[in-house]
Amino acid sequence: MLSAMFAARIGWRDRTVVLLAALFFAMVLVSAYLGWSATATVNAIYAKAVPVFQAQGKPVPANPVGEMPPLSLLRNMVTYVALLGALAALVLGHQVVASDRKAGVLPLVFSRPASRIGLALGKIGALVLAVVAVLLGAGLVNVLTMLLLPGLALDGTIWLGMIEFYGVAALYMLAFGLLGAICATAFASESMALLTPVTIWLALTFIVPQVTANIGPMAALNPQSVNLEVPGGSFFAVTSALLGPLSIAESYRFLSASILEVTSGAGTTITAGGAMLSLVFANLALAGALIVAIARLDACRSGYRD
Amino acid sequence: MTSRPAQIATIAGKEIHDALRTHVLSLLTGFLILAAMVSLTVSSIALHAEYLTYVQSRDLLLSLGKSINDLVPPAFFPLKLLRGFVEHVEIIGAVLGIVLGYRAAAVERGHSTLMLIMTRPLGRTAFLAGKLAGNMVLIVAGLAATFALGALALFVISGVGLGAADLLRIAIVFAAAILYVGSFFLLGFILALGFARLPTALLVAFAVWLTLVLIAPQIGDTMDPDNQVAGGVFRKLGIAKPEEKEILKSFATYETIRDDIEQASPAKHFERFSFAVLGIKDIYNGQPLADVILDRLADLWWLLGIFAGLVLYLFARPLNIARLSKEQ
Repeated sequence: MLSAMFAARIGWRDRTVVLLAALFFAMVLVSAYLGWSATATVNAIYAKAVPVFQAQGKPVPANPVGEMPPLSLLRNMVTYVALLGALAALVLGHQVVASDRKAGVLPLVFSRPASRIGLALGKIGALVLAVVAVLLGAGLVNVLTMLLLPGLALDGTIWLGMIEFYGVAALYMLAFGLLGAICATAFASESMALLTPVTIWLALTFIVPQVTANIGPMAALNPQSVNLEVPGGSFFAVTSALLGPLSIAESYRFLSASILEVTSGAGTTITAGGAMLSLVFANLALAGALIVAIARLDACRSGYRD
Repeated sequence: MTSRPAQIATIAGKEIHDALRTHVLSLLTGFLILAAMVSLTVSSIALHAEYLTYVQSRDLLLSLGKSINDLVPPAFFPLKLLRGFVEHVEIIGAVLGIVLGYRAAAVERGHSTLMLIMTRPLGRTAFLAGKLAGNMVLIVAGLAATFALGALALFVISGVGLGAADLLRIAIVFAAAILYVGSFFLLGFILALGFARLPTALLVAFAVWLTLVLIAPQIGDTMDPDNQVAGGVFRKLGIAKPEEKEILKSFATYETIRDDIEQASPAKHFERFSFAVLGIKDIYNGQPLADVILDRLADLWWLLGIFAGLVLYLFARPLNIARLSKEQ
């Protein structure tokens, strides 16, 4: 517990982590604005279209705003968590280990009668605390936005949906936090310890979805991309079966898009159970890998080469 | 005393030698090539799958004795397969530029060699020019390998030989990519020379990359009035194109703001220019190259302007050697 609180304090004292967290919060506000803008724009278009229909003697269709699920106003959050949230978590994970290595305190820590597994669990606890704190702040902004937007029918299912979305976001961010911590532990060079997880994040976000479902790099940022039809043929059937369980970016996008009701359910072979299993398994495997990495860290060579 | 061009060449040579010794450059260039090749392969497989689906539908209709007039065969334009390739250059190429820029400054600051270099009879301008020249050589070489392999893969995968006109279009996009990646190199270099703490500089550079390359275009896309409802608001309401244009006239200010957000992104300029030159955007497909370039000249000017502006800033900005030599 002490180790967790200490590591969390180190992470938050780092200006780079605070900078990314601040950028993330800024984008949460932008997301709230875009949610409001979406409703206002469609309302304005509808208001302009009504006289056109009347002049043409056509029946006036229903306002599409009425068909927009309230939670879909948060759809941009899916993208911002995948970009800024994951990157902030990655840097946070890096910092909770790298700060100890750079300060040269690990030989001293390892000389104390405390187990390395305990230290690793403390680091994981710190990451969980930090990720939950960031998402609680973001969630609060979203709750205020939903309360301030006029004409939204808010009931228990909406709030439950928000909790589910943030739960999925926390699992996704935590996976990258753990990845950052593993690389910060295992690599001898700090620049490689930062660049390797960033490269893995780039691959999971932009390359794997293309291999499994032909979703282009830029389209992968759009939560609506889960609705794209996967091309037929054996190639995509094989790649999605082999790589699908490892593709946590797709699992996260599918789950969050489903919760926020921005998916029609078409064009995907992923199931909610399979996607959740993929995220949970990734976190457990990465947490295990971090424990092993800390247990195997050479205390005498714990500083970085660069 | 060595002449200034010789000094610049020496610094540039050292820069190339240093960068080649680290794994960072090979890791990122290799990753860019891998991503580009994956994209090309997957695009061609998807097109092939689309063609097979068309053939199956056509055969089914013919076996039922029905007309196939309404069935549109998938169009094949080899250069259109480069869409994902261009997007990977847009995303990963920018990261490559930032990392090279960061490394160029960090290698001197981290090893405390900056002060040592400056004790030599070497001007600040020659030092910065050498760094810039060396890294631009690395960027050109990395992108040349990526584009050459891309063109080769396009020929092998599509089975269609690329003509001189196609290669010229790819070469023009390659030139635009040099300006684009070079701008991100300058961003990483300037920030790593300006911030007291190197990790802060790297993270700020990544924050700028996220904002300009990924977030600004996404915001612009999200604000598109027609993207607010799944399937498009106008299609949902059953509004015809002429009425749609009439209604959108009332959103001129909104559209200007939306376009300005997209214009703020160098990635968008690179993408618009490349998609037009390669004919990925339908309205430019089959158009004469000169007409396309003329139409998208503004995007090219933006890319040139950003690159030139950052070069000017790099040389105009005072360099506090004593402060930078103390790594924090």
